[in-house]
Amino acid sequence: MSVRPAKASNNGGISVRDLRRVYRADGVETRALDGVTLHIESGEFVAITGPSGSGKTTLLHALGGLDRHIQGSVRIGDSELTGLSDRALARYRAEQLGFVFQSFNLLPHLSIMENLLVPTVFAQRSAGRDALQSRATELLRRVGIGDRHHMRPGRFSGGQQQRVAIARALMMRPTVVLCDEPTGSLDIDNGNGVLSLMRDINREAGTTFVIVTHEAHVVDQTDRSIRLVDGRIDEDRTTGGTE
Amino acid sequence: MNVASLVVRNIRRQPRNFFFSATGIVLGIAAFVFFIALGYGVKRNILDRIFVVNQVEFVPRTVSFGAFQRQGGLFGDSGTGIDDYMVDELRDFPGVEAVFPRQQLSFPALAMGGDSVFGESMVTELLADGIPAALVAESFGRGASGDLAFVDWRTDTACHEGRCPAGGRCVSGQCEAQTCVPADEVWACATRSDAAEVMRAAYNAAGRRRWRISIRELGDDSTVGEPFVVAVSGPSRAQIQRLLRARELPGRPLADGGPESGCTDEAAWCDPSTRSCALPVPVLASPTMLELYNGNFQSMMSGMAGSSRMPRLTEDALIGLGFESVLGRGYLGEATTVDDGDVAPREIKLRIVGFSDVAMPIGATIPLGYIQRWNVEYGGRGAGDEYHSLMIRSEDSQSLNRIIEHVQDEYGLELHPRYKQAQRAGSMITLVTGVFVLLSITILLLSALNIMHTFLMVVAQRRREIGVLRALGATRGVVYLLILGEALAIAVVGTVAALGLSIGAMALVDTLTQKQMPHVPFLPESLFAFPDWLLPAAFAVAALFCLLGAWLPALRAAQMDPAEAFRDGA
Repeated sequence: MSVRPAKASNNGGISVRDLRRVYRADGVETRALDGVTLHIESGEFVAITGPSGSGKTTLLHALGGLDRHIQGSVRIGDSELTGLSDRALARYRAEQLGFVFQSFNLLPHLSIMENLLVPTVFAQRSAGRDALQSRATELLRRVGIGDRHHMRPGRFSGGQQQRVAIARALMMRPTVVLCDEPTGSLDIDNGNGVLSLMRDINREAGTTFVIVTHEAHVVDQTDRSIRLVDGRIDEDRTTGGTE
Repeated sequence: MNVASLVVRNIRRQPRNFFFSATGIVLGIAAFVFFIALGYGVKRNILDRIFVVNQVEFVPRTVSFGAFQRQGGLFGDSGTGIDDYMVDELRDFPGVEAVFPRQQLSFPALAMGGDSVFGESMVTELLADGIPAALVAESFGRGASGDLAFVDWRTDTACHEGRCPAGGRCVSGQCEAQTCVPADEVWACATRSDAAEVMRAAYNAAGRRRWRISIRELGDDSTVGEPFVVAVSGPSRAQIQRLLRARELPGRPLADGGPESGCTDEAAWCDPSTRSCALPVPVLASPTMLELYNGNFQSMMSGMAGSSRMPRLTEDALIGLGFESVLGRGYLGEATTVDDGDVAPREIKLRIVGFSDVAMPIGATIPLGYIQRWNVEYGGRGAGDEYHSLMIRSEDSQSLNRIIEHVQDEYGLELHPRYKQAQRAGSMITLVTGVFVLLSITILLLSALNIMHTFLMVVAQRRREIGVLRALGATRGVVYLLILGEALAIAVVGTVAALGLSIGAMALVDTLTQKQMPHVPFLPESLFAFPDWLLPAAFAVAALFCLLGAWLPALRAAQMDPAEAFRDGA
């Protein structure tokens, strides 16, 4: 079985220019991002690495339009995110972006199927109910959950939950999937399984993956590694990606 | 999957929060519904039943010095000043739909009867007044019941569908009354001296028995042939004639029975004043009188030693009940001379034809024409010209205040005391209802605070989850709706539960009231009334306070920056 390539597969290029984010707390100023400029090609499988507090997650939030206090420019495909209204940004997230979090962030009171259907509630570009159901079923089969879609997330292992989270991220056929420590809560085997699933999807659908991680074995499986230190790009190298 | 189903899923995951928040709303809305239904019910079921909303009664102004009261001011004549001229003027005043003058019986009269109800005949002073039949036309118009209509049979002589009351004949659209011989006329004589001889014989036959014996001069138009008859009221005609036949008397006994002496219509009686068959005078009684009788008088009399048990009465049991009255004779005196001429007491027959709130509270209300004729007969010329009060019906309730002001200022009349009481009672009920509704609003305000507290807690708990929803594409508006949707669900469930609770409470109060206070006058079947607007109003108030409580938490949730939500959640 294969996932149909996203129609926006060629719009997943990301351009970031002079990105800055300053946190102020108790009169102390912290520069989480300090003039980050980078470009990610559409369909790339990229790792963002760096020590704790280096600005990895802040960069990811900026790419996802989740942080409104960012200065600079974030362009995904043809859209400049920093200029969009809240409503337009929300719509953009619903239809063009997918998110995968370290702690899965599945809604515990909804079934697996319902979790997959949540993004469809917010997207204006949405197919009929049956089409959405069959898309969700297909994705769940693709990530190895099979027909257990009526169960709640709590009944699944961490690895399985993260697979469901990946399926949810792919539900609206996004051009870019942003992952924040997707293997951080998983053991090596499960982590590798999840990573290889993402890699497969990246290759099959041409979806751009940006993965924040501090794990070396994850970095090894990406095409490119961007290392942040103190909110600046310390290193941007091609890793070659292992099979 | 849609926003509504997300709301429902959120409620189902934390039912305790939901029910805890809903409890206050249920109590507040239940109290709100209960007290409004009570206030409305008391006003509609009790007050408006006694006092018609767009109808008021005016009486001449009274000046009072302690126990001394005088009508019409300190000086001047003692008449009421309410006459046909005033009635006509008021009929033309803008906003006035109809004016109904009212005249009281102004001479002594006795009422007798009730054997079929009380087991023995009761005698009491007759208090009566007259109203135009039009005042009660809506409820007591000439209907299928025919002779139970509230009309003046003496003046209403038109045939109705070719039929006439009391066995009369319809001739050219007008009714001709059936002639008859009154039941108390026993002997016909050719001369007055013959009649006097028969009268003496009747006195002898009566012995110590109290018969009323009189000679009636019928003249040349006599329906019996002879110009004089002897009338004896007491035992039956046949019994008296048996006693008189034993003596050799001039003249002849009048036939008992048959068309010559009786009326073919069973409901009719032979009126001696007209010597024609007539239906009894229709009487309207007040439900107030019945309530007072059943509520106080009946229990009081039944509890007295030596007195027989008085039955409880109903309107149905009393409608159609006939009784007699002696006009011109009362406990305190007798009318003897009017306009320099003699007048004698005479008997009439009356019949209760219905109950109406416009009837005088204690007494009999009959068509105005009867009262005016009797007042002239026993009170003299002019006694039928002035009225004792005026009832004015306005076209709508908005015009009423203007009319009241006009009548008070221009004609020196004042509102009937019971309408003043109604105004006071209405204000009191509104005030008390207002206080209790305020109490309900206070409960609802506290509930709103409770909802705010609970929802702030819920928003804090779901902070990360709200961040996830925002990441998945939810706008601020959707987040806002999700929280307010839960509040609205509390309002819906709360309103339904509150309605159940309040209806249960109303049923309980009604049951207890009926059981504990069955004899309270005017106690309706239910103290509560449910106006059409109350259900939507209850929901609107519930929604208002739920949304008020959830507004701040919803705003906080909607304004939450997703990145901060993830950071704080982590």
